[in-house]
Amino acid sequence: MTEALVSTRTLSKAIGSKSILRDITVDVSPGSVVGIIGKNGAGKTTLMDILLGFSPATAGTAQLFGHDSFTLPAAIKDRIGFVPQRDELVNNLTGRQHLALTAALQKRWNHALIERLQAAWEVPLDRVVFKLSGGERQKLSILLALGHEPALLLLDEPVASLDPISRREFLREMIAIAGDQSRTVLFSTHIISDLERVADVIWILRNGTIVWAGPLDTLKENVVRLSIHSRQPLPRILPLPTALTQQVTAERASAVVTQWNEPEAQRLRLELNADIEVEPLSLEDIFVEFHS
Amino acid sequence: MKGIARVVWLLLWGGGLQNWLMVIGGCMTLGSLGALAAHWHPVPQTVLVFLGFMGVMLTVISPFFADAINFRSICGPRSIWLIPHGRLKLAAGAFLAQLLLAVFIGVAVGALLPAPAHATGAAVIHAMTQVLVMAFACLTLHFLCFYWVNQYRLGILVFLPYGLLLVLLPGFMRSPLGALLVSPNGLGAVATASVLAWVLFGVRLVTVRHIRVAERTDPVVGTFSAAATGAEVAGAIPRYSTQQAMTILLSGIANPRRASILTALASCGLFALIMLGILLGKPAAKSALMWGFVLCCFGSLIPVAMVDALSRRASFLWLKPGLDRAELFRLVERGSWRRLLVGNITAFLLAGPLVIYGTRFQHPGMILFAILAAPVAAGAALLYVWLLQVRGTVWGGTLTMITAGLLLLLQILFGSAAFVSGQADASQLLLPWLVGSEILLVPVLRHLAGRRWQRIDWLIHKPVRLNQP
Repeated sequence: MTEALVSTRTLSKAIGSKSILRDITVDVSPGSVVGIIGKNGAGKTTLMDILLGFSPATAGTAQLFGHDSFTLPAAIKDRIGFVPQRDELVNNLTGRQHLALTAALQKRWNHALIERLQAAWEVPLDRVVFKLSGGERQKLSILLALGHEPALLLLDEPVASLDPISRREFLREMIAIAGDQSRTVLFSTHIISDLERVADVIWILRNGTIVWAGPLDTLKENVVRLSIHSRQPLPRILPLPTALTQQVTAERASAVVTQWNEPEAQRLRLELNADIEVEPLSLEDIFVEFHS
Repeated sequence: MKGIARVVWLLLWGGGLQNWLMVIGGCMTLGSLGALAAHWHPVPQTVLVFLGFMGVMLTVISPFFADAINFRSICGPRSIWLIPHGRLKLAAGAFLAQLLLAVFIGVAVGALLPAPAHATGAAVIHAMTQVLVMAFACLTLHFLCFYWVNQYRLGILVFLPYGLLLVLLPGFMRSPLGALLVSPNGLGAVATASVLAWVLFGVRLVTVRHIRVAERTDPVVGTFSAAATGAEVAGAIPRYSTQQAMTILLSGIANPRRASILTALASCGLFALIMLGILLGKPAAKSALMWGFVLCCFGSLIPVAMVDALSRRASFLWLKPGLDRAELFRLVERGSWRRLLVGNITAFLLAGPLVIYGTRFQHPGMILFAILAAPVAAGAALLYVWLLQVRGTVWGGTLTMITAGLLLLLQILFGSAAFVSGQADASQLLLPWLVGSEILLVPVLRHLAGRRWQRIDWLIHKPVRLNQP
């Protein structure tokens, strides 16, 4: 069995009386691309901060490469790359100086990779950072995170400020990184179409808890919209224990369920004496349904 | 009215250090005024008056330096332009905030100034009015000047003439023109000019289409070549040692060496001008020493105020290999100590003329102890108090800082009293005890701070960024 690169057990975080994360238990295996989605304030950034050791968990554990994330040793830090939601660049330095500074602090640095990406993304390296646009700053932050070729890359909304072309190039680079089975990527975003393009595992965060953690394909197979046409009046509440939403009008009903499978379909057909049409949902629809 | 009140509140009660200084300053002023009014003199009256003046200074110093910058930031957003009378409300709020500060200065300083024997109530009110009007004029001039120049990188040089002003002001006030200014007609003219300046400023503010806000958040020094010209800095890839890289990322200053030199030069200029002003005022030997002591205290306290920024920026180095929390603590500690010692030694050297002038009055050993050891001990204790502020509740942190601040003020008070009295009284005996306790406290505070750093939470103690794109 492959050891999980990222692992949390009943992880919780509270600041004062405010609970931010509750009972998060997840594992990330090597080579995965995990997409984290959730509304603003759902706890995505806090989860990343705890995973990276910036903040201690109030309860539970968080581990990276089998080590407690709050006391990461140097050898582990060397294998991590991080792009924060708000960049941590020094305004008075140029992009080139930033690259040199980060290279000076890392044990290895792939100059060729950075030069290639810099040219492809057209990052102006000779301008001081406070003269760069939001997207340019973001691209520079991504370059700084990729230079030492980390085995685990954590990206907190990395493409929010990028234009569509840069976003596409960045995602292509991420797919290339993910193609190398030794690399693992964890990233949060609000652009769900990007997730569908690159992620193979999805975590959906709602109010500090993970309501879904699993492969994208399984999510799409399991979460579906049902259109039910019965030959008799339907009960006001359908016997659907995993329903996210349901609307019943006499002999017709529609519902979104999270654990859909053939035995469940058979049971429902018999119980309701109804025809059931199953409509697959896009990831965006699934996200909306989880929050409805 | 609500909008105007909100602006006044924002400018006077800006949060963090500003509120803390205002509370301490207000307590000192009220305490001194109360003790003077009740004829209760636990320390010499001169010291009480000095304490009162220090209180006024502490209360006013933060809005004095920050209001114009904050005001420009508030005016900047284009959304303000869309609010009906938005800019007008802002201008009115700024005007009222400066007026309130002037009233505070007028009332407090007017009451602290020694009144002549048999002075009537009307005479006291006249003295207060004089101070109020002059303070309002100065605040207006400073606010409007600083509002315009803070956009420019070299705008900080606007502070340099202040030292010169301090030198020239006493002579000017004794001249016929100065006497004319403080006459009823002169005061009327000054008040009218101040109000007129605000009206003109308001009209300009309301009509201007777009207000540019400075986009930098890092210290201005050390960035001249690239930032001042906006020129592109092309060329070879710079090479940094690991140590250099850590220093730059921790301080956020692109060129620490140049920054140090420029800061030292600016501080020297300012300190020299202030001391020249004090010496030209022909102070008594004892008050010269008192001023030297106060300067040295500030020389070690100002660098310590940077500890918080360093510990917040330490989060940028957390993910870099080879640095655990204990090493980050030591890195920040070393940087803070370096700043503290450089600041203190610089202040001590600059206060040299005052110290030499004062040796006629005090024993040199006592002077060295009070001017060198006391500020360093206080600075070291405060340094670790700052380092402790990386976890815990807001109330706990505030309480610790207020307690530390009060102890520090007590030390300044006793130190000043020791120089003023020049005798082996309670203040002279207490000062060594206070310094001794601080020295004993330092290892304890260091141990506690080190333990807290093991659990530092950068989710709470995050770096402050004012302007993000």
